[in-house]
Amino acid sequence: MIRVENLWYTYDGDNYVLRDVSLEIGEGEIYYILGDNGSGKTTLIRHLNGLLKPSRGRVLVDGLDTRETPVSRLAEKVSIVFQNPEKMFYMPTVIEEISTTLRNFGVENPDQRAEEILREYGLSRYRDRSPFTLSGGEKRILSIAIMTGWSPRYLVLDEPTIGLDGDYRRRLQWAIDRHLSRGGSVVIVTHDMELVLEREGRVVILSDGQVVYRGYTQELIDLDPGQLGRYGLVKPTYARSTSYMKTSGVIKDYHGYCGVFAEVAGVLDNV
Amino acid sequence: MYRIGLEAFRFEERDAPLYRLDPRAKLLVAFIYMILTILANSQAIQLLITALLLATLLLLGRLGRKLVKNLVTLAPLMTLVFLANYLVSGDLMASLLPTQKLLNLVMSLNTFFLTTNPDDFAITLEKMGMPLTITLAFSLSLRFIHVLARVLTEIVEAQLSRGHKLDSGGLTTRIRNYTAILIPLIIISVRKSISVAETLELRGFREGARHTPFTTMKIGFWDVAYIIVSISIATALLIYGGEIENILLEILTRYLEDMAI
Ligand SMILES: Nc1ncnc2c1ncn2[C@@H]1O[C@H](COP(=O)(O)OP(=O)(O)OP(=O)(O)O)[C@@H](O)[C@H]1O
Ligand SMILES: [Mg+2]
Repeated sequence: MIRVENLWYTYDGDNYVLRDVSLEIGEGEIYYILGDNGSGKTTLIRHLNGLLKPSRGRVLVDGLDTRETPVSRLAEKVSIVFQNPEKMFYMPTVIEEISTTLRNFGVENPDQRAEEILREYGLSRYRDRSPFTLSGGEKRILSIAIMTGWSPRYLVLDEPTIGLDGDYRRRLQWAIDRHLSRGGSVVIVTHDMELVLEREGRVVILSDGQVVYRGYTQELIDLDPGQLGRYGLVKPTYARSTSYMKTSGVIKDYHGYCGVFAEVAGVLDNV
Repeated sequence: MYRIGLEAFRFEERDAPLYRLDPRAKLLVAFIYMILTILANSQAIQLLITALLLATLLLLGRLGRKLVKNLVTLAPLMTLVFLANYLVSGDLMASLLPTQKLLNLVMSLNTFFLTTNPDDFAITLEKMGMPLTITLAFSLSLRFIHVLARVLTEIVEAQLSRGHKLDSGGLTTRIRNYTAILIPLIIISVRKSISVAETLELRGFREGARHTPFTTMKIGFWDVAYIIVSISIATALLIYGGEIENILLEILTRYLEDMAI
């Protein structure tokens, strides 16, 4: 479990970017962190593997205080995939990019494992290309492939759907589901309501560094669009019809249906 | 630990008298202090210059916190200068002088750079007859430093998150470790500069074309006062330097004797 207890953080000593944030991320759970640009989401997740240390309060990862534990030890448990994947690439080829990280975390047979991961993520044909020459979506999928290779316990994704559609979006979904099915926890920072509504999970909304909403994805769909809009979130159009169908008793829960509706909406968009 | 101390040298908007002065006045005064610092070969006079600069930065600039960060960042360099001089000359007092000079030079530059928006500085240079391409290159690179500092932090964080260890192993391992930082840094900065060039072109920027500045500047009463006070101090120090030094030394020795008792 990751416990964030009354976390305050300031970059410059004057202005607090995070103010008294508390969360608890349990085993096998999916946790969404939502909020407007600049609300402090990325700053918050940089605390989860000890890259940033709390100005006040504390962060415990499986009982380890991030202030007293080296980042290398925490990074093995908490894997963070950052917003801009380019900043992590440095090897000449895609395959080496994967295997070097497996080696860092002491995975057995890293080369063979890297080949498997490449296949799993459908990246085999880019095996010997430089990561920098991939498209935006391919880079993002590669960064997820790299950061899940050693089966970390917690997977943290910062805006994972940006620049992903169609096939790559499905691969992201697959990666999330597989991680959950192995008992891992997933933390997702996003603006993408379609992604949020696809799975049952816990939600916090940050605004100006403070938690302004706490709940479950089920409840989020019933919030009115104006309130969501204030937090920089847009309710997908099909969410309203699902909401209506639920109140009129046609369906019992949203999840699953949202996926179906999203797919239908996608098809209609492409017609 | 790996965070870079560049923040301490960066301009931040603030409401203080020094920020409202004309950049040309500030630049001139910074130059006057730098020349004084270079010319003065007495520890006592250097101390006086430090005091004047401190007064300027603290009272007119309200820069206390920033100045502390700034000096902490520079402390290793100043220690190095001091030690190097001491090892060569073996004279404690003589090694103090170069260290003081470094400190005063940095603080002189601070009176300008910490309180002047890079854009205003570019306009200042242009008013002083520099070609636009140079002033533009200047203000762009000043901005670029901060962008790169941010990118660098993000790269280091991404590599640490991948289980990359930066400061371990022998020399060759360390060099290898640092390629993980340098390669993305170089690629990203080249890309960024190309996109800046393209943006300029799309916005219709051409070398040698006439353009109208967005803001205008005017020397006002306080600018003149700031310059006159500084010039008077500088002249006094240049003409009566010897006498002032004697008085200062006397005060200092008396103070030190009091302390000793
Ligand atoms: N390295 C830094 N130094 C100083 N301030 C920073 C730094 N990184 C972020 N900030 C500031 O902290 C605040 C929160 O930023 P953060 O990146 O955490 O927001 P975010 O919620 O992730 O936004 P976005 O949706 O745009 O990614 C912003 O005001 C930002 O300017
Ligand atoms: Mg962010």
